[in-house]
Amino acid sequence: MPRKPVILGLFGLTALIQIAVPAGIAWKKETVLRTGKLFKFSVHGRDPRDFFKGSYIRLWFTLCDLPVPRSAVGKNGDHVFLVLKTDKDGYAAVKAALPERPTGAEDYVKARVVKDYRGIFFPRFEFDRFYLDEETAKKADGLAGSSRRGPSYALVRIKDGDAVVENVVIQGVSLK
Amino acid sequence: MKESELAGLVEAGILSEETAERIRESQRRKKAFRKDRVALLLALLGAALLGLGIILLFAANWRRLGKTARLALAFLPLLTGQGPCLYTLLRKEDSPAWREASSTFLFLAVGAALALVGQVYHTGGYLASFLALWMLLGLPLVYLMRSGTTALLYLAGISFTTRPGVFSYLGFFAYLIFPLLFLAILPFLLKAWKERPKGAFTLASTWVLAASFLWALGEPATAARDSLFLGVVQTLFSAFLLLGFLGPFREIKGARNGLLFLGNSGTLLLFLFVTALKFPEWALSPEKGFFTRFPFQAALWGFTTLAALLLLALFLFQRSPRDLPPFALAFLLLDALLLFPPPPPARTGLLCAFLFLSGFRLSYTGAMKGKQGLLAQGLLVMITAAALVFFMDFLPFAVRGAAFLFAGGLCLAPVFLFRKKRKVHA
Repeated sequence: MPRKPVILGLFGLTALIQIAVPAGIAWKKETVLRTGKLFKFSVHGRDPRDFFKGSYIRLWFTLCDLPVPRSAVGKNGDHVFLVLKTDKDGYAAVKAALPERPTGAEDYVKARVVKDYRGIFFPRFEFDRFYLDEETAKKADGLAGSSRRGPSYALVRIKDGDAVVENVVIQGVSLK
Repeated sequence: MKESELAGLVEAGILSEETAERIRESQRRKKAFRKDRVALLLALLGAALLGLGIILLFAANWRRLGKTARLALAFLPLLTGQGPCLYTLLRKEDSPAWREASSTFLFLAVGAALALVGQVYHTGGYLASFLALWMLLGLPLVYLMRSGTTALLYLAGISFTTRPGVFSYLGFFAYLIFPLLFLAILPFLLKAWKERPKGAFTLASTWVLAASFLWALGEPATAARDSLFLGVVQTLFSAFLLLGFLGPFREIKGARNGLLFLGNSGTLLLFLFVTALKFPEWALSPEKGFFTRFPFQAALWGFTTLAALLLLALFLFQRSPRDLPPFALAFLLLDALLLFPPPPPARTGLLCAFLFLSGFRLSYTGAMKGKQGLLAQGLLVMITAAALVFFMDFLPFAVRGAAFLFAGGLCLAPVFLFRKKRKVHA
C-alpha cells in the first residue's frame, strides 16, 4: 500500500479526533446546562489565575464544611457520588455519600475524596472554578476584601452526576 | 571566498577552472542551507508566537462575545491549523519549515481549544489531566508531520503528568501515565537521534529531555522532603551524566550538551547545599518507617537508581572506565549515606572528600589531555570543596589547616603538569 494515502488517512482520523474531543466536552456540558436541575450552593471564593485559561474565582463550598466519615466513601483520590437535597434555606446539602453511582431517580453529583489529617473527607468538585474576564476579576477581588455583607452562592446545573456552574454571586453581586 | 579572489587564483594558475567551479558550487550550497535554516527558525518562531498569542487572547476572557462566538473562536485555530498541515502533507512534505511551522501551530491550537472549552463551561480539573489529554491529542502530529518541535513540546508537556494522586481512580495505571506517554514518543526520538546525531534536534533534546525528567521525577519527590528527594535528584543528575556520554549524545560536547551541563552543575550545587547548609545533620538521618511513609517517592528512588546502574553498566560496556565522569558515581555515595548513615561529621567529610577527589580527577585529566576547560572545571570543584572544609567548625583548626595544605599541593600538581605539557608541545 502506498505510504502517502495511509499518512493522509491517519491525519484525517487525527484531525477528526482533535475536533471531536473538545466538541464532545462542550456537547456534554451544554446538555447539563439545558436539561440539568438547578441547585444553589453556598460558597466563599478567591480569585487566582490559570496560565492557560485566565482569571477565575475559586469556589470553596460551604457544603464541604459538613464532613462525612471517610470510612463511608473510600480512600483519598477516589470518586464519590454525593446525593443532594435542598435545605430549609434553599441551599444544596449532602443527603448521602456513596462510593458507587446511585441507581435511583435522586439528584447526585460526582466528586473526589480529599482527606484531612483527621481522616475526615471533604469532597473536591470538578466545578470549583468560575472563569472571569479581567474587569469582573478585579470586581471579584474587591468584593472578597470588602466589608459589604450579602449572600455568596453558586448556581449549578446538575444532571447524572455531571455539573456546570451557571452563575456565581459574591456578597450579593452577580459575577455573570 | 570572494568571486574576485577565485578569479585571481585561476588567472595566476594556482587553481584550475574546474576546481574553482567546484568551490563556487560548494559555496552556493552552503548559502542555500543557511537560508533554509533561517526560514525554518522564522517559520517556527512565527507559528509559536501565533499559537501563544491565541492562547493569551483566549485567556483574556472574551465573555462579552457570547458563548457561541467563544466556542467558534475555540475551534477556529484548530480548523485553521489543520489546513496548512494537510497542505504540507500533500505538497510540501519535504520542507522542514512547512512541517515544523504547521504542526507547531496545530499542536498549540489543540491546547487552546481544550482550554477555551474548559473556560466557557467553567470546568476545573487538574493541570496534569489537562496536559495528558492535550499531549495525547497532539502525539500523532509528531509522527505524521515528522516534527521535532512538537516532539519537544510533547516531552515538556508530559513532564507534568507524574501525579498518581490526580489519576488515582485509575488504580495502579495512575503510576504508569508518564512512563507510557514517554514510551509513546521514544521511537520517534530514537530514529531522529540516529539519523542526525549532530543535528539541532539532538542538541535541543539533550536539554528538554533532562529538564523533563528532572521535573517529572524530581518534583513529585519533593513531597518526601529531605532524604528521598535528594536521593532521587542526585541519581537523576548522575544518570544524565552517563547518558550524555552515550549513543548519539556523545557527539554533542561540553556545555552545549544539556544532559552533561545539568548533570555536572546539578551535582555540584546539590553537594554544596548538602554540606554547606549542614543538611546531613537532618536530611540524611534515617526516619522510622521511611519507605512506608513515602512509598511512591521510595519507588521513584528505586527506579532512578536502577536506571542509573543500568546506564553505568552500559557505559562500562561501551567505553573505558577511564572515561567515566567522576560525578557519575555521586549517586552511589549519596544512596549509601541515605541507607547506612554514619555520624554527621563523617557524612560531611565523605561528601567533601568525594567532591575534592572528583575535582582533582577532572583537572588531572584536563592537564594530561591539554584541555584548559576541563582543568578549570576541576579547579572550580576543588576550590568549592576547600571552601566547604573551611566552614566545618566541628573540625579542629589543625585538621583543617592540614587538609588545606594537602589540598593546595594537589591543586598545584595539575597546573604544573599542564604547563610542562605545553612546554613539551612548544
